[in-house]
Amino acid sequence: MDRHPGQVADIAGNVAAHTLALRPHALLRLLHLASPSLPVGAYSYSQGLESAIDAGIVKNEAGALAWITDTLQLSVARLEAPVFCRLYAAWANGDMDRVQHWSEFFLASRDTAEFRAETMQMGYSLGKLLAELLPEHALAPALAAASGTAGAKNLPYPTAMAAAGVMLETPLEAALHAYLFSWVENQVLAALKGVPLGQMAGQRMLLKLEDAVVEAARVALLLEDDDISNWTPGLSLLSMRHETQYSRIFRS
Amino acid sequence: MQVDAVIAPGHAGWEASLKLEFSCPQAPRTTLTRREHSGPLRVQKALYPEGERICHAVIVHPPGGIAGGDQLHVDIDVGSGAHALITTPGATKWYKANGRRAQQEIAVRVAAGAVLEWLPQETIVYDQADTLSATQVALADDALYLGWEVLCLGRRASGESFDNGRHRQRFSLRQGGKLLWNEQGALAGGSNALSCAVGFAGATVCGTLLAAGRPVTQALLDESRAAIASRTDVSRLALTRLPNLLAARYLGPSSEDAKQAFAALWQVLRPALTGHAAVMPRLWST
Repeated sequence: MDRHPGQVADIAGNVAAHTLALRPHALLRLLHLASPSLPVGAYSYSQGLESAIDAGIVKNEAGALAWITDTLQLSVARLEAPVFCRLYAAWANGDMDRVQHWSEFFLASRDTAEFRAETMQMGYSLGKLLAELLPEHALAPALAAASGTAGAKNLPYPTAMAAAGVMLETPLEAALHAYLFSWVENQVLAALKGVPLGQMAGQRMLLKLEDAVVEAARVALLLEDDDISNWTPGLSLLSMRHETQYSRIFRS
Repeated sequence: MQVDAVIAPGHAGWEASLKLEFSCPQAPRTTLTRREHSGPLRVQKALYPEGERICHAVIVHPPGGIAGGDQLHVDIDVGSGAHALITTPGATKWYKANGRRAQQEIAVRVAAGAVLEWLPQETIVYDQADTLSATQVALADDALYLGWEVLCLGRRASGESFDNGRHRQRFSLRQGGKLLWNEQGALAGGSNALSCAVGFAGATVCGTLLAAGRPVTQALLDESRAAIASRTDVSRLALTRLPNLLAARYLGPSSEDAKQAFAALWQVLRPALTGHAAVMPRLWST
């Protein structure tokens, strides 16, 4: 929760300029990182959505759209995304104390067993992948250290994704949009399987969620440390209930 | 004291602080070795309803509620091997703001092998309140924090809902310097966060119980789940187990319902984590 004067202002400067111009290589790398085929197991997690379906809260396309929009606005834009931005800055500066600080902060702010297991499993998988793909990168030793020793998992997903963004030289603002889109797409896929809904409904939702993604990125880039929020008791309660849900296809 | 004070617009704000230290110089007795207060916030005396091992303290705030401009500080040390139980005689109330934010800061340190039970009555946030409630808990190895908070939005008894104002809350818990649990956020009256399923899901009462600092076994998690299974609507209450931590959430219509469910959990958790039988404080039955 420490303040970093300057960090937010720099980021805010980028926002004001609305520059998302990318070198072609950076665009391709972000498409790569945001792809559902990235082998981190994202498809096996619904992040509370399956529990909301089971509870009768999400019953159709409109309900799924509302759930995804609210979760994006109240949870992802106010916790995971701003923490990702801070982690990106920490990796970019080679500041491993800050990497450690925000990783610990994020994990402690995920308030259920399944939410923690999910982010640690996905972070571990992505960390291993980066180590294989970029063994000679200057940040590889730091990534190995952050990943922990044999078998220990110390790398939550936003920490690993921020490392990927920095190591592959994708600019923060674009990387953040890719991160958020990939989260949204995974939620939409979970809705298609869980509700269930047809492919067309999924495509409609992805298009309708554009504004919410752009807004989430804007909020995440501007949020001060004190305004980071994980206070979503409804989401928390549903995730806890998922632990004992009788019939389930997702791990969260 | 039970009558809500009318706060004049010119109310300058109370500054109040309370420092308590519990220690265990002559084991097994827990002694209230330090009790300092300034302003309207105090503990009358140490109580021993369960014998000398566990020292009970009742924190009293005579103005009855926290108004705009008020600043309350509570600082609690539980020394090595001591066991303290803290409660309050009535609801903590955050009054309608008068143009200034009201603030409460609680800092708790629990030393090795010590236990703090923090079992207050509910907190009521009035419509148009503007608040900051910040709690920091620091545990040493093998220290235990067993506590809850039951938050009511608006004075439901008089039909009031939380349509305006802001309640800002932060709670962090560390053990040996490592952050185990963190919750922070600001809730705006009348906002989407109050009504949508991800946020408060239209509930007016939100409760959180934490048992932190000692490992929680799968068997204890199962036993805790069994203890609440028949007590309340399953959609309102659930549990999770994290490293050195068990957390329970309540989201529903009634602070009584929340407190009864948490008391049922406490009756399972206290003996398992402290070795002491769960004897209900008499204050709760009134």
